[in-house]
Amino acid sequence: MAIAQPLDSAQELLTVEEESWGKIIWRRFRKHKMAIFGMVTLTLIFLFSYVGPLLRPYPESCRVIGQSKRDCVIDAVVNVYAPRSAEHPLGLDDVGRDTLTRLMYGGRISLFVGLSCAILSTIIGIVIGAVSGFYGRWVDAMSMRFVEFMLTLPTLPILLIIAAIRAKGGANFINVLIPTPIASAAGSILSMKPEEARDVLGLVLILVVFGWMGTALLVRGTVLSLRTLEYADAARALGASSWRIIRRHMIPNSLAPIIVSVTLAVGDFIIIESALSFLGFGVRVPTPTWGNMLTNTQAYMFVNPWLALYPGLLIFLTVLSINYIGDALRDALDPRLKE
Amino acid sequence: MTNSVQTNAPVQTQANQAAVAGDGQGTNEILLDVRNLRKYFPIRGGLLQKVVAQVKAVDDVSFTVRRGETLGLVGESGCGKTTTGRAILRLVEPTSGEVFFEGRDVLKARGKELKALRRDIQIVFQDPYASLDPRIPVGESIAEGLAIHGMGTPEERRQRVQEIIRKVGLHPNHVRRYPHEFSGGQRQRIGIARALVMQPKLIICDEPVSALDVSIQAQVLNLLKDLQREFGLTYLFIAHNLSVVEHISDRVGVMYLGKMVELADRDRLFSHPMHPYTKALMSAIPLPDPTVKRERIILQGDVPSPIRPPSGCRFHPRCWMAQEICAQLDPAFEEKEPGHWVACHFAQ
Repeated sequence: MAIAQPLDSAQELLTVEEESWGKIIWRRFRKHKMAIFGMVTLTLIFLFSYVGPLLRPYPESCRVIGQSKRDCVIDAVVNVYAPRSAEHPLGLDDVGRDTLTRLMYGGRISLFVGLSCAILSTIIGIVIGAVSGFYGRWVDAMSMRFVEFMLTLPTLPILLIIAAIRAKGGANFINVLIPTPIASAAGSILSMKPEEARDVLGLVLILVVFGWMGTALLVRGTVLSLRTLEYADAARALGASSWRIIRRHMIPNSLAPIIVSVTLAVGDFIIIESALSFLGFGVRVPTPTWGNMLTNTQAYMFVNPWLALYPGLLIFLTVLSINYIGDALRDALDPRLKE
Repeated sequence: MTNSVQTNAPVQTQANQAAVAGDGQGTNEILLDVRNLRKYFPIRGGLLQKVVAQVKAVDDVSFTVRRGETLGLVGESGCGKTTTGRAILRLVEPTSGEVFFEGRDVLKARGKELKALRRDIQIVFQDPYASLDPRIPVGESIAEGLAIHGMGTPEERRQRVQEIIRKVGLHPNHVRRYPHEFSGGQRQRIGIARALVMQPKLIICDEPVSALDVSIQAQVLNLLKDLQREFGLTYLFIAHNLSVVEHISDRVGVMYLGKMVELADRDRLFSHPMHPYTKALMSAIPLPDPTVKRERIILQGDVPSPIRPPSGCRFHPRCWMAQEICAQLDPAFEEKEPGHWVACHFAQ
């Protein structure tokens, strides 16, 4: 003991950590090889979607009829399902549009919808779940009954009704909720007109409204057990407000399952979006998304299976990459794990 | 059951007033005054979650703590000593009773008042593993109280944390580390630092050494004593280990099944215990000298359930001195000798 003490402190002086929090996380993150793969892949997919279209000479939704050849390449009669060529590396689709270009534009919307839905619904889920679990009693009872109510709602029929109302045209009651600055901001990200972007945001809104309950239940369960730990009492004894305890102690400590759920949610939302697009809600053809490209090719699967493969592969790669990143992030953010 | 509590209450209050008057050579000498504190935990059941029973964790406990002293609180597991500590800090809301800290009514404090009180009263927890947030570097955990109360600039806080961490025997470099990188004893020192950094007047030590190795226990106890001397602290020291309590306390209160049964100066209590329960406890302390023979009092049976405590004196089913009256009348907590309070019909 007497000998160990000076050695110990000497060593401490040598290894004074001047590493920032970010650096520590990055060092741990790097250890996950698959996460690096995921980061690289995801970056490539983002570049593909947001920079790629600039390199292609075709607009994403060009139609065969009534557009100039320069925009739309395509000979509707002869070149539909044209095989891959130097000019069209992934061929043409059922109405003769350049598949590669449409994949790129579709990526913008799919990534945007997937990420924004996942993030927004997680934030809502965290807040409701944490408050519910922390306060308990009637707050918990009320919010959990509400969560159960939301879960019992048959989402798809409701969305169908909304889609039907929407299809009637006129004032879109959901889009009214979205303020113009946000719509035009989204429009510039997606390179869309604000009205079109508003449609996409309307979809995001609906998906978030129906998509936060899982996270809320997850966070509630975690917080329910965390709040009984002594460090919650310790914070309270120091005079911390409930909100501070939730923010500083409850949420950071329930991060691990949250990160896993948010990464899974991204993929889920991309796929739900495709189902809704198929039903005529949200993003409608000809505006491409990976989801609706996938859905639309169903009828032509046997003529040209590639058309289904491309968007499917991109969805798969995106979800996989995000999951790997999420895994690594969860480990990197947990100080308890060994270096 | 309810009857006995009601009949007993006025007697108890009188006894307490006597305590205040008796102790108070100057009333300002009393830092903490706990009167008739009760905490019943409801047990809910049935379809409508009606209250079907109550756990009487703390049932009519009164005592005072003088400035600068250490009041030990001993008792078996489940006797309500921890709940008493937590109720004083309002970590659990007491069912009834009064708590005064420097004349301020703790149980009626709201918002800012309560926050200010929590600056003056701090707590050190039993479990050094659960009482520190694993995701926050210990330096930040220690500084949290300062941040909550907006004390000092971030730079001043950092310096204060460095000072405090030295005081509790750790290295300033340790502030960046996470709780899992420390041993139990070190963590308990961090817990003490977290309480100490607020410059509190009273620290409630809730079994601070029970989870530690014996060798480490001594270190932490001595640290607490040193800090008390240096900062003029007052401790309410909760423990189940009599030797620990004897080592650190000036006065000692003994609790049994939610009641205070005896309260006296340490030396007095350990040399002349008056309550049969205290006597039994004392006889269980191991003696360092094997040649000394002592009559060992072995209690019969288990501690009864605090949901349905025995009638009259709660100790009577296990007491070898019990007579008829004990089952009928709850003995008042009275000052049988100056400064020596006992709740027993046959105290001697």
